[in-house]
Amino acid sequence: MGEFLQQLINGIQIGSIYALIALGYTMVYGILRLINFAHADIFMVGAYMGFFLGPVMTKIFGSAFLPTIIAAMLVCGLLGFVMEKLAYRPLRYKSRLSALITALGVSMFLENFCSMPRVFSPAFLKFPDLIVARNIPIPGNLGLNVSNVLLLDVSVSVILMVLLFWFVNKTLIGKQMRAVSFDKATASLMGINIDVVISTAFIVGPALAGAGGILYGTTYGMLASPFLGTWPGIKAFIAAVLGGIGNIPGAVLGAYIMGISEAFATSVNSNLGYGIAFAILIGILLVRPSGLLGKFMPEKV
Amino acid sequence: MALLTISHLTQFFGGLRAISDFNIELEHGEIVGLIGPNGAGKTTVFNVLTGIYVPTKGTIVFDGQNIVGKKTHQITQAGIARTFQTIRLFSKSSVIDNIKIAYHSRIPYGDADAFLHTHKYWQGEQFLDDYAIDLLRLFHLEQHADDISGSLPYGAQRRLEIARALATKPKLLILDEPAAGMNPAEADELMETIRWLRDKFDLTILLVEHQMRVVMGVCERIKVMDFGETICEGLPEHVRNDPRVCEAYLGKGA
Amino acid sequence: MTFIRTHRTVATVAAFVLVYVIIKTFSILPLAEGKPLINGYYLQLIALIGINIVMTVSLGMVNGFTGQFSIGHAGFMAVGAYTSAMITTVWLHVSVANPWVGYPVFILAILVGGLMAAGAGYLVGAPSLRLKGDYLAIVTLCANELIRTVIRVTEVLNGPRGLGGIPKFTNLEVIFVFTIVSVVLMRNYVFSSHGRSMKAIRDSEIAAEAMGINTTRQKVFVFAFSAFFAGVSGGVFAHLLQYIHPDNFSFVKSLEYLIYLYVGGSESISGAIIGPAIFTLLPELMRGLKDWRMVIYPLILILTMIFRTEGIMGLKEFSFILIPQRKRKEANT
Repeated sequence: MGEFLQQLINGIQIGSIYALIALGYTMVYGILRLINFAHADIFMVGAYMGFFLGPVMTKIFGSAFLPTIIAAMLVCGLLGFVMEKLAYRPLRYKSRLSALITALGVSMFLENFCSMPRVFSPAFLKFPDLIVARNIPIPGNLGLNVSNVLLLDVSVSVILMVLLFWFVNKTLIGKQMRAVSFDKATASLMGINIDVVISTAFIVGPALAGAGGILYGTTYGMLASPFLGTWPGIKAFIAAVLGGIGNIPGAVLGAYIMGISEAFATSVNSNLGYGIAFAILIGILLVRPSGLLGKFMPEKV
Repeated sequence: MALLTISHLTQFFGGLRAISDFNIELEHGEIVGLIGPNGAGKTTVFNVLTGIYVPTKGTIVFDGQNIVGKKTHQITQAGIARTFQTIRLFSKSSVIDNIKIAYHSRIPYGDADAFLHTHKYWQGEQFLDDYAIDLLRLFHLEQHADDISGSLPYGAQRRLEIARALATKPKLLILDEPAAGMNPAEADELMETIRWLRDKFDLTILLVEHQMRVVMGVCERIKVMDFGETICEGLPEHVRNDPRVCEAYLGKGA
Repeated sequence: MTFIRTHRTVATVAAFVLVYVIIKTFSILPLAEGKPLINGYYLQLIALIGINIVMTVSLGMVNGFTGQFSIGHAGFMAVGAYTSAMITTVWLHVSVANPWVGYPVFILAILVGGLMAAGAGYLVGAPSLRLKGDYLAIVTLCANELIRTVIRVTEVLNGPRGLGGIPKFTNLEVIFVFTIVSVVLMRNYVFSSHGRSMKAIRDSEIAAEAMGINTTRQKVFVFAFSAFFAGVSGGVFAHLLQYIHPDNFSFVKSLEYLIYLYVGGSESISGAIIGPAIFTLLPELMRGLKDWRMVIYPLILILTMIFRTEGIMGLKEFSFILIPQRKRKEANT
């Protein structure tokens, strides 16, 4: 029982980080039908912002976590905005695949550029303690291991997700985003400025990934190299597809399913934990070809 | 014996009944029209007939065999060819390749010949090239043979769609709104073509059309549908004077 | 037969033989201070170009010509690499020292590897090819990673430690024969009725089906034979590097082939040849830039995609790829 709960908790923790990344994939996909492979690297930049800005923020504000996460979100949002303007906008009305290959190019550029010695360097880095990690005693004899970092991960992502739902459902620009993702041509005929909507998606999505990067650094306490985004990125992307890509609640659902199943499988065998995500996704897509919450659109004859 | 017999055909989409108890018999060599207002279920009949949807109920017997549940390509190979309401050419392929693609199911060589370009392959390709150019010539498209089909003018694309359907060697040709977007002069020419097709290729033709002039001018028998039900059928004169038909198109009291 | 085809085929073959002779000569003649100009490092690079070309052309069969979207090609490469390496290294212990036994076993092994990969391709393709576009892409990506996971947990395959000590059967001659034969076979298929029906599926699957093409069979078949060539490439790759590891075949590798394909031009065999050739050589040509080369490389890639959206070749083919056309006969109606 204790073991089961422990894995569940671990799964929710990692699922929260996946969810923050998955939201960016799904927002961009919903609007542009583009798999933004560079999103994983924005997440990486977010994590490195924690390393570089954390100590500075401690000096200025006394406490580090909140100002660092906000700074990382700003930097990543800006990066996303610039990336879309320079690399994706020229291809907006051309083939979708050329945009995909460009996304791969942008991803490769960010990884290699950040690996240069004078940028982030390819070396292994210790992530600064943005908060002091403490174990929280849990009543009862289950032997659960719960830390304040875990609570922080979950609460930060839940707060950000609630903010995102509010943003998408209640604000004008959020409603416009949903309209564009439903039907771009009609939305633009209704007077919606597509450019503004796309830019917004490329600011909000990366900002969430930046926050995810800080949580990742805080949780694992280290930064392996500027290629660290690849695997969490692909897992989060798969989570987005699992939930039905383009669907915001779907991305969150997918991320938690992914995190929890991975935690359980890893407790059996670490290689299995790695592969489980892919097996689950294949199984679900073959039964529900548009993901759990996605809508299936048959082709009209 | 009739070439095509559809009996008691019913098609539901969820709770929506798109066709109910549809019956038709086509004799060899007939030209039959299927008309009705938008949403009457005409195209759905076509889609069921060509295997795109599996009907909820009913039987379709074509040329002596039941084709319900068969895949689209099997039905085409059995001898039913179609054109589409919105043109669906292989737009990146050349005009002549569009014809050759439709001939594919009867190509006289296999996968291995294709990999190795055997003698059989060259012979087959040469035969196919001759066949395709002859067919294009009948439709006055031979000078465009090597152009990309998507670049043809609209009228030529419509003709190519019919020529392509013929390359599958059909017994029954079904045309989904062949006169869509045509002016009266072009529509007259189309009527000529449809009669000529029937005689030249020994076909039976079923067509869905909105332009009454075309339907009345070319069809020997007409069936009128509304909300999935057959409301009238018979000779063009009979259908023209039927009050239920007027009502379906124009509303009650018209 | 009225097709004029012999002299151009002869010219093409002569051109390839000439290229081979030049490379071979410079890899033997001691011109650079007693050493050959083309050393082992460059020979390895040439071999990698050949392997990348076959991988890219075979991916192009699925993604470019049939209009499906697979991004798990490295998985099939892994199946071929591991199968062939197990046969030559673990089960039959053949070595380069005894070429009369070694090479027949090697050739057999890479063909068996190809067949195993084709089987895996069938298993992945048959249920998933009804999925459209990006969803198919994701299933293939997942299949790629699943294959890798299976290798990692399988003790016989040496799991996460990788498989070493593979004899180096892949030499310049093997690469030439393998690349040319594979590309010619695939090119022949594209220029046949089956190739035309692949393109028909790409342009409109509904119309292709309505024209009597068994689109499901055609798609699965193309997917399986594309996997076959990926498997054979994997075998050649394993016997070039002499050590294979599951991480050599991750989805990142698949994405590399995707890049080569679309940069070259996905709907052109010539594009699938020069894409990998240029982009495999590019990092070498930029050696003078040191650290910056891997930063400049993706920038060149991005600029290529922005300014040549359809890839370097677009829809064009080199003339030696095309099938010679005869003059059409006059009217006889």
